Amino acid sequence: MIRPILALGLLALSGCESQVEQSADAPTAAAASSTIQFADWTSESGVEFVHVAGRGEQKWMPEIMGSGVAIADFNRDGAPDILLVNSGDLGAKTRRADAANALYLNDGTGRFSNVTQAWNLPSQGYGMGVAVGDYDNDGFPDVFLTHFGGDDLLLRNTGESFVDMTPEAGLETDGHWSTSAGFFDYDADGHLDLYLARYLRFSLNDAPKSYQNQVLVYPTPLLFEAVADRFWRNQGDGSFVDISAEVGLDAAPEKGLALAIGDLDLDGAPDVYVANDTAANQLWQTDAQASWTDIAKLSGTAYNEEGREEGSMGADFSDYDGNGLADIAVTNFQLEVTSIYRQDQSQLFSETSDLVGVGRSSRARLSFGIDFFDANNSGWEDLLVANGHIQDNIHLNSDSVSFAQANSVYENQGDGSFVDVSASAGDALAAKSVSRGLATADLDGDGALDFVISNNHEPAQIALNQSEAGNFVMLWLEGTTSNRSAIGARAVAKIGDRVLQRQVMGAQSYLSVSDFRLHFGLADAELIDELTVHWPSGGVQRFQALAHGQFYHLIEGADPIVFVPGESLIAP
Amino acid sequence: MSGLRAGLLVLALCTLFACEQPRGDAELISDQAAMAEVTRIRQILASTEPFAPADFGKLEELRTDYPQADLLDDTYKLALYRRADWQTLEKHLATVAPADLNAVDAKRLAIAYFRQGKYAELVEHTGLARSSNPEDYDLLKLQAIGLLNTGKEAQAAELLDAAWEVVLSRGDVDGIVLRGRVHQRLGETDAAIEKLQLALSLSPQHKGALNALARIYFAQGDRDQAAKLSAQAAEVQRRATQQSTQRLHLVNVLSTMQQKWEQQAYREVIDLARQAIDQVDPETKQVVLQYIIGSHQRLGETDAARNATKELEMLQK
Repeated sequence: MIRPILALGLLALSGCESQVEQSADAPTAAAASSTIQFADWTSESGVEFVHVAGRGEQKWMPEIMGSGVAIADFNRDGAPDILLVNSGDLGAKTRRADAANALYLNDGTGRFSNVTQAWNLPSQGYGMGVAVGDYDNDGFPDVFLTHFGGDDLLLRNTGESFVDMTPEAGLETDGHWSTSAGFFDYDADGHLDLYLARYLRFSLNDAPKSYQNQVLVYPTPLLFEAVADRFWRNQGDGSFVDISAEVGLDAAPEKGLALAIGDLDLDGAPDVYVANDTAANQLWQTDAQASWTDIAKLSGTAYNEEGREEGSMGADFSDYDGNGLADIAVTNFQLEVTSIYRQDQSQLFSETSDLVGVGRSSRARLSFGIDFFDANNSGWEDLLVANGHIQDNIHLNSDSVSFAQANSVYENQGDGSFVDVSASAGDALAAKSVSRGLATADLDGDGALDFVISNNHEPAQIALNQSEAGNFVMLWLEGTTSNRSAIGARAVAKIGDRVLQRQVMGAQSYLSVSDFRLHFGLADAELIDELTVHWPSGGVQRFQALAHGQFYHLIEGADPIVFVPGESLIAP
Repeated sequence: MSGLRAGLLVLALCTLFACEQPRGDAELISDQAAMAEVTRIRQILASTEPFAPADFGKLEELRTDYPQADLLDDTYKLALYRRADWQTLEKHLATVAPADLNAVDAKRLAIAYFRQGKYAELVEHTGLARSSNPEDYDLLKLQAIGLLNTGKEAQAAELLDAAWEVVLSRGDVDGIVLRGRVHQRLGETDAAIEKLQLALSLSPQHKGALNALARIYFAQGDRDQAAKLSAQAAEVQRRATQQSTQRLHLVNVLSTMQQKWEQQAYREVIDLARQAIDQVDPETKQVVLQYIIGSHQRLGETDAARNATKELEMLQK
């Protein structure tokens, strides 16, 4: 009689390291009171999107990773619309009908119409994420869709439909697993270039298995080889050229899941932060003339405070403590904190998650999408996090961790610290789901930021902000010399004694894109006394006395124009 | 009242009010089948074997049957520890007043707080636990970690300095690195460098020390030294990841081999076993050889089976 190999001690290894992940599902601290409130608006919104993951007995890794959501004003009526990515069946080139991607147009009040067919939004392969940017500078934001197994799509937005431009643009894929993507103008030529994060080599034919205490589970990324990210330069004629090798990405493969793209050191050149799963995160200082430099390890943003790699899933930037330098937040695995890398001096970061009040409750969740946003218009950016475990059978190995988890909102206290107010922040935060993509925008035009969350194999959630919010100013920046989406622009607002800074980021969260418009919470202030916009072209423009409660369209080189979201189409 | 009469009275009252017997250790020990299960489960928990959900379920059943058995309570705590179910372990231990926790459970609770990042509770608990176990070095270090992560760096420094001779005599590199990080947090850069270099002199591959030192040099503008240390740390990490990956792949190969055995796909069993055999420990190697022997036998390959048996005998010698 042979003793079954599964009983051998060696196999306990399958339950080690990243596969050991138990902790609390809900924060144990008493619910902190907050003025931040979000109501679940899904059923009233008109958005009836259900993600199809195609999960099966094989526990193929991609099934548990999708998907993303983009919020952008696709039809230029001033109101942010929603594009939701679906997945389908692994290995199928053709997407099943009930797993189509979806586009919903906003009437300006948070009510949406499904225009997927009218706009020819295609669905193919196994969908993952989405990037948005006006790559052809025609005034309409275009879309790049990422997939497992290649099949990525560049979709040109004509203002009333999407046209597949992938072959003409030269964005040929090589069949690998794409995750997050982001547009930004790395050489300041006014044309948006494209960064594509990629995960790992996963084959449906011979994918290795992982076991946790003899239970088949979704596999650890450690079993797979990393795939190098890609970067394409926009040649300005509708085509792109792959310069991944020139900038140094070919030689630095990691397991990329998420991107945050903005200017961390305020040198005018975009910085690309890549959140890698079970690998060191990367912080690329881009350079238009030379190969890029990864300063993550030296700057203190590659690892946790003990110098260990984590299972990083999402990322965002914000100057959350108001010291003038943008900080980085990174979501991680259960029992790992949502890292808060505070930029103390230029390019020098400290991981402060536990010290600022995020560590404890974030360990109790497995987090993906993340967004800094000012939920109560206080001028301080709060933190929203999408949670959900990756093991659908985690209950077999833990009594205290669940697959579906509640999402989190942390209120910025204005003193450099946060308080987890999830438990008292309304019914939208009470629901437990397997959340992945997350994006924010003012969906109903009331000046308070709402959110959309994509849930794995579940309906997407639309949540409206019902907080007791302060005053606001909303800015739609549009480049002329700069790229039309104004990605890379930085706005500095003087409001009385306060100075607030916001950036139009090329990417953030996980597989997702938030509305590009810049939101300034003014608290009790009546206006922005002075606004300075640093355009990606290098131009600097100043505006005086921007009144609260207004939506301003700021076109590079022109005077501000007030608009009402959803009122009428605004010609490019 | 005589003992006999008192016993009869208790029996009568129990019959009258249907009260249950305590179902503690004495009853458990007298239940041979239950004890066999407890012994088996404890053996698994004492080994590196995986602790299957079914075994945890069995333990839960036994706890229901013998709710007063201390042996099962201890086994349950071991099981929660093995499952890294820190929240449940914390809740379970919190049913006992902190002052009444024994030394082992006090340390378990400290680790449960630590793993959940409940640093305020960790500081309070270790402070209390150390009052009855002042020499417990693990509790001291956990308390220092708790203090560091609650922004009480000066107290962490004081604690570690008071135990510095112990840190050194134990050659505890993690403890030295921890002191270095406390210095770093307090802005005492030179002292941080000194401690981190001391750690590296004892353990040149200590990734935490390499990374921390690299960041200090980077902050000081010494990019070359920073890059050198950072590259060393990355190499250490690369090797560690490679080892983990190899082990995980091995698990995958052996699991597939087991499946093929159950499917009676013996040729594939042999192929997979031969892939794995040079990478496993001697005990596992013996089991893998048994799969090879068994597969050859079922394929009617008697010579090959005999050769594999000789391999096994050599190994057993």
